[in-house]
Amino acid sequence: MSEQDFKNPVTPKLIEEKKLKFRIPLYQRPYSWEDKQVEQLLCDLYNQFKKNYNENYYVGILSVAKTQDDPFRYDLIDGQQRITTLTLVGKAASAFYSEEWKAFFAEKRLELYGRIAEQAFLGFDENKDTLHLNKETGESAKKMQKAVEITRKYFKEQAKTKQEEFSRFIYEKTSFFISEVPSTYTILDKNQQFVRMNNRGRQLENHEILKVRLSAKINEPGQSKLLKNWNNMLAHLTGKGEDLNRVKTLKEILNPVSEQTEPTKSFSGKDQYYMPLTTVPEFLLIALARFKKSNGEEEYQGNPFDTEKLLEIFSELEKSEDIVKFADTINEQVEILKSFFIYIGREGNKLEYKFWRNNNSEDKDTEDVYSSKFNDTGKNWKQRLKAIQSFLHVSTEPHHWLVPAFNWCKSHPKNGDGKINAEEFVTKIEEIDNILITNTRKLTSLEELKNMVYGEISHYWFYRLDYELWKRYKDPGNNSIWENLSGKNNVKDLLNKFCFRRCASIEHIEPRNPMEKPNEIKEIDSFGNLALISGSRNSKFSNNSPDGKKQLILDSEYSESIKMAHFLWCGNGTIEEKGEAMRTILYDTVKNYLYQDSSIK
Amino acid sequence: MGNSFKARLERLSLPDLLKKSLKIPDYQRYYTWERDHVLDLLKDIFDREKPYLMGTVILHDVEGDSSKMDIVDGQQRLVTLTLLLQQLGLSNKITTGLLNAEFTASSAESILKNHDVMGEFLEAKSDEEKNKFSNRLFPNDCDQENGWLLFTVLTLEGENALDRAFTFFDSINSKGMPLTDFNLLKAHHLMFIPPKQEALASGHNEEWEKRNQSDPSHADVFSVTLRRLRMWARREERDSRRERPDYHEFCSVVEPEHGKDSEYELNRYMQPVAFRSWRRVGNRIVLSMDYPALEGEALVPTEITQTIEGGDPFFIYAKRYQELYIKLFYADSTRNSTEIDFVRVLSKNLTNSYLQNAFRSVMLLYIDKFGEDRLIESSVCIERIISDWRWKKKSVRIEGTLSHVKDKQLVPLLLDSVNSLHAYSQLLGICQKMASVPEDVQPESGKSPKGVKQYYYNSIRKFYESEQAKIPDDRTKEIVFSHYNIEN
Repeated sequence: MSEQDFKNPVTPKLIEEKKLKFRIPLYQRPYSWEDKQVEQLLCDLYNQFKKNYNENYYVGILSVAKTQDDPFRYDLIDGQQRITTLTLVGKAASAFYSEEWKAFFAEKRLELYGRIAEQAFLGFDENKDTLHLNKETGESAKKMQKAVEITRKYFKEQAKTKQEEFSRFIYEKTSFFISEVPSTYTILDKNQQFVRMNNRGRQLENHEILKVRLSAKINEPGQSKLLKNWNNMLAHLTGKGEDLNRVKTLKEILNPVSEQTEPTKSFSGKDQYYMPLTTVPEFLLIALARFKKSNGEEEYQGNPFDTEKLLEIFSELEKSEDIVKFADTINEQVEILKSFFIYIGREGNKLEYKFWRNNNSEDKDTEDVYSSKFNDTGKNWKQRLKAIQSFLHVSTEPHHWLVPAFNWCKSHPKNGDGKINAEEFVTKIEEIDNILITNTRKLTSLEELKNMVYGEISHYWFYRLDYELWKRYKDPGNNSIWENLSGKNNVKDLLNKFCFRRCASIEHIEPRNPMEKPNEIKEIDSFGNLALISGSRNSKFSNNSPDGKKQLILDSEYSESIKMAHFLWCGNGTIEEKGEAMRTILYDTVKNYLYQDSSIK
Repeated sequence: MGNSFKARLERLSLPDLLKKSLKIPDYQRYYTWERDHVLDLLKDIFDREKPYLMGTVILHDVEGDSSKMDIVDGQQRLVTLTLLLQQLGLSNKITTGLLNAEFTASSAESILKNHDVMGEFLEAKSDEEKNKFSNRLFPNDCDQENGWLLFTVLTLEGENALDRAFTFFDSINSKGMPLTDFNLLKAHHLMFIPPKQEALASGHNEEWEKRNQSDPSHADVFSVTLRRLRMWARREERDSRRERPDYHEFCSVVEPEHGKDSEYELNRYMQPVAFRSWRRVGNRIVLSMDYPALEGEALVPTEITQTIEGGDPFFIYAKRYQELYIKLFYADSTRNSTEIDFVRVLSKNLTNSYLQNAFRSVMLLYIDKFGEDRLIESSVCIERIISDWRWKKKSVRIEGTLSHVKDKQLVPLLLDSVNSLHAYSQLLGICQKMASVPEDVQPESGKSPKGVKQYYYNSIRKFYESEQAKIPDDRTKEIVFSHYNIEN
């Protein structure tokens, strides 16, 4: 058989007529299709069958290599999961239109080389259902079994009046293209082909596949709208905001005539971008959850914000009119993010939060952008907004606070000029955070705040305390906690430059003796002596004395923890007393909220 | 619409593909390949004589203009190849399409970078090589049948072509979990086992999967230990490749030859070999020599730094060193000798994980080559040399640890030594010349250690204090006593 024969696709019928056989080499991964994927394939097949049963349904392309000992048999290099699924579907479908299927299965159409247990199952020996399976083959054999069951059920429930016709449709119209590697290919070449097929260039991310999947389900003009909005979103979320407007041809890029191609100017003028608060998958899942809610639909059954399951969660967005509407949600949410939320600039240890700069705003002061979006009622509100957003960014999963915050922004502005009131917005975000304390952080009694010792304390409280300390530092009417600060300009400098950072390491400010067992000295492990800092700084501090740590912080010109700065430079009394002062702040800010809501016990 | 849907698959060479009027649709405007992707592609094709199939390209006709074709899948490869043609001075061969495709600013950056990467790559090649390569890409007689760089091109036309194109795109690109280096390595080496030996392949496959899930995992033994030893043996301190270093390190360098019974090279460091080669006969492994043949997998000599041969020998290599690693550092102590026990407990007392891994790696090589000969005294010297890095650095990082071991040439020293005496005397020489341990690293007498350095020091000191009687050579003992301030 020459390669020419594969210009046209093959169907189970043609496979049988041409006596073709396929073999799955051992290096391929075990069969792994999930129930949902099988259901989707059946659903797509059935839709095509209902629409036009004379037209082929295309499943994909198989990449194959001829085997040495049998001219009719091909090794699968790519597409093995699909053809396995089709074979399993065929196994169930063979209850109908059975003469033809019988001919198909008369030969070993699909051989699972080296996987003896699975082969026995595919070999359709009904008596071997209780084979001894090890962990790996057990999983994949189970999935094979499941695929057959799902198809049987589908025939029974969905295709019930047309079982015979549907089975025939599958037999005659399910099509694969077959691409054969050149006959000169050696084993190493085939191997490399397998590696390249799975690993050529950069791997596509799930959201890139999702874009294509959703586009395929809708027609024009909705399709163009979705693609446009999607690309616009990508540009913003990947920090390439200006990108879409600066287009050049390959020729112009390689032979610049006058103007140089310059990367977007950014943080300290280097080749670096401001990043938004969410990644692309997070952003999409938030948009979907908001969309479903406004559409009156039920939430996804599992965790609707699990970015690992992006494709699965989005498989519930099926109706074409919903997908087109969702395209609007994307755009609306990008606008909200762009207008009212901070972006993060990072370079080495330097960190900066800014509001978004519009297109072509390189020369403009970012103040202009901020003031075009917010009604300022006092000059500190911009700083407050940055502080609370960055505090939540580092301490809280994005969807917890962004879903309500986006919804709030959508229902504001109310006064027609497109602006929202910064003070109201800050108050709203603080409220969102406070609601989370009971709903999500599961704090129900203030007693729990007393038990904050090393090893048992949620990182959230350190961030929250830093936010409260920072607020008091900025508030002349309420800054008694900072009264020891006068004259210490270098420390004020640290506080003025403070940025919330994501940290993962609990530092003992007074060092703990490494030879002592934990919990032997209560005071050292108590809340007063602890601070949340980065792992790298924690190892740099090592077991230095507090004075040594002071010097290290001043040398680095930034503090990762306001609490630690307060302890080192402004705190009064013993560790216990310092801790009590901090606890009192948290206690006072949280208690009102806890007791206000009587439904929480 | 009326024009019904058509799909067709063809095999096209690069010149034929570029003859089409190709366009990059709006939804595809990002070009994101990076340096390693480009170099992979160049290395795949530059020296290759035989035809090369560069995967599938999906095209669909542009609505309203059927003379033009939008690229649905294949943009990255085709743009990269266009850059290559430009670098080779062949861009006049691309008459239409891609040169006028539009890109965003960030894509433009990647394009310029990759253009330079290719320039660099080609600069290192001679004119003759480049000409040969150009001729293969664009043969002068442009004979269609003899295309060399090939594509499987799927063309979709008519009603709903774009939707279907997306479906194909999806099926090609969504492959579930990405393959790890160890998935790829298994695939690579299974290819070398002839189809007839299904049971052998199946057995290696199962063994590999089992070991991949055990503790220590393949990653511990391959990434952390064997690959680093091989790097140090080449006097390197880090990988030249950022992507898939384990896969590239343990790939076979030789082509498999199926059909005849394979014979494999013997590897046994520099010691004289009595055996000529080994091979499998059925399920048995037979070593040939000028005396009667011997049998047994355990007799097949291997070297950590050996050339990797594909298939059977690789699986034996992998199993051998995973087992040795477990025996040395994971097994319970009752089954091991005093010497091996000493090394294991000493390694546990290196309280920095990078230094501990470095020590364990070097010891693995030592024991693989010299067995238990002079094991205790050599391990002490190796500990002294590796731990020296702890005193020098405020915080120990992986990069620094890798260069430290490289700079000390520990691995070449062991590899070049003919026997354990030779190795030990050189190690001892290094230790005798070493500066003593700085004072601030040593805890004040009677006080608990302060800081990570003192903690590290203290832990090893305690070990030697209790185990000193096991050190057989007084010269090593003396080093331990003076460095760790232990009273005799």
